[in-house]
Amino acid sequence: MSKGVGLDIGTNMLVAGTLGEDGKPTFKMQRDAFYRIVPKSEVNRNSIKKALDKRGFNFISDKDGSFVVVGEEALETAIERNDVAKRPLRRGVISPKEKDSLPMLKILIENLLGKGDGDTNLIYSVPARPIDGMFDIVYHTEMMGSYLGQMGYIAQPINEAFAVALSELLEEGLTGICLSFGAGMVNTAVIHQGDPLVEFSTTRAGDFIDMSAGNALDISPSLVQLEKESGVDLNNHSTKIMEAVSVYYGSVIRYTLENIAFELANRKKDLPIFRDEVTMIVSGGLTKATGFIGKMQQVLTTIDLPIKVSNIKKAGDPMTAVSNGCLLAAQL
Amino acid sequence: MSIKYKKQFVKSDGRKLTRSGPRDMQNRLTGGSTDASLVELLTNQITDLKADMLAIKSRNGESAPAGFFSPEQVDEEIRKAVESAVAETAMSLKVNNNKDSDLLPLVKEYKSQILALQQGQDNLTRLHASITEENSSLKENIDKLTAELEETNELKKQIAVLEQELDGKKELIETLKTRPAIVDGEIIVDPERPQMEQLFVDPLEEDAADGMEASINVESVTKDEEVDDKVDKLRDLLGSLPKR
Repeated sequence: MSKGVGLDIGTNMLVAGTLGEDGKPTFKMQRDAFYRIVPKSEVNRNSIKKALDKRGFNFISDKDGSFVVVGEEALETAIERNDVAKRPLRRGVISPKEKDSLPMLKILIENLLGKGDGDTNLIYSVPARPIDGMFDIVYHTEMMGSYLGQMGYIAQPINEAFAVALSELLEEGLTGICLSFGAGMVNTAVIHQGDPLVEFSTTRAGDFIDMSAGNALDISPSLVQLEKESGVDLNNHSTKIMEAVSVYYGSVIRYTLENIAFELANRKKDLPIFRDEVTMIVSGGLTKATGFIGKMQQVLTTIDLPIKVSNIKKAGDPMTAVSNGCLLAAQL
Repeated sequence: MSIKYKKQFVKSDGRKLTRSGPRDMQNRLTGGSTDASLVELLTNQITDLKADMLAIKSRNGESAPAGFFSPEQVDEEIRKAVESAVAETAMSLKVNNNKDSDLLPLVKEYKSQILALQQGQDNLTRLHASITEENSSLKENIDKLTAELEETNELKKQIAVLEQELDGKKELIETLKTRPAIVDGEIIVDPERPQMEQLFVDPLEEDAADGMEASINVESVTKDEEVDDKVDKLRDLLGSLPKR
């Protein structure tokens, strides 16, 4: 068996999948968020470094003397300083406007994967063309391919939702609908016997919930994000933040399913006749919320999808499904 | 000597004047008409008596004057006339009965003709009904065709307008042929037209990450899953990874 690796490049999370010596999959996750701390003096620099070391934070020391806190701790630091963490990806793609974050992104990926030997296949996930936004996924795809090539890998992109199918739709003969609810986008793919017939994405996802709830309650979106990731129950709201998050969850789910119905109706001529009802797989950080499947089923009953859905299944591990699909694809 | 007046005097304007003389006036004044009315009364009585006497005479078998019939005579005459009419009718019926045998074929023929005529009439009634029905359906069809004709005329007008617009678009297409079209945000270019190579320039300097020191420790999670089986299944289903 080859030793290909898989990499899920998400707006919020980088997930690398590798195969261990025993042939079992191993995953490493890192939140792709950054927060730069610029010391005011050399003394201040030393004290900041000591504090970061003491707290066990992951950080990068920049050549200009500043510190870049990365990952989960970047969000905490940003909230402590009543600020917002930076993210190199926005709505699933890198942008030349965020070029200051790109070196950190490269360091994070290298830290997750290690250097390639020039002969290792690396399958990385990319979003599909958005149907409700105008931005360039080609630039993102090509630049990430270039960076991964520089790290010593033979890199090949794969659609994010198709990667979910490779991971979760094997028992269904790779036939069904896969949705990846990420931070920046929701990626959708309709797959028939391994053939990805329709692939597209929508741009209202986790970040939209954080931003909308933050605006509604006049609090930092980063705080909403941390609260949300600590666990959401869509049926029971313990706090005002959770209530707001739950409301925007509902609107994102409805928006996504309505757009899927609209898009599939428009592309009906590209779709084969599905004789049987198909399985819908959902993955991604948003699907971890308690009551997510129930909410999906509830909304789905009010929407006329051109393809009949028999059941909605959550991926075995919603956080690693894309990376797992990439890892499996890298073994082919 | 009395003076004689003309009983009728025609005046110069043509009017006739009668009984306007003084004697007449005098007679009317002195009641000289009593005799005349008496005479008239007596005359009437004489006439009535004359009639009664004639009736009595006739009843007694005495010859009545010509032109006069007693009621008995009238009855007798009527009786004779009725008997004579009955006899004639009987005679006539006898003759007709004799002629019935000759008329039978004729009656049969007439009957069959009557039946044929009745059948003909029935047929005509049915024909009339079916013609009426067809007529109404034809009317409906004509109405439909008229409506369709109107729609066709309307469509013709619309087509004419669209053709005009199309002519304009054709000109526009000719003009735009030299430029790429944009459909759904994607630029559609004639595939035979030479295309610009897609080039992506890394916005980072080569040494952008130099001097950066990472203090990052990420934990890994190993899952107890058999990848080999899944890869074999994937190979069966896909062969190799689809190229983008």
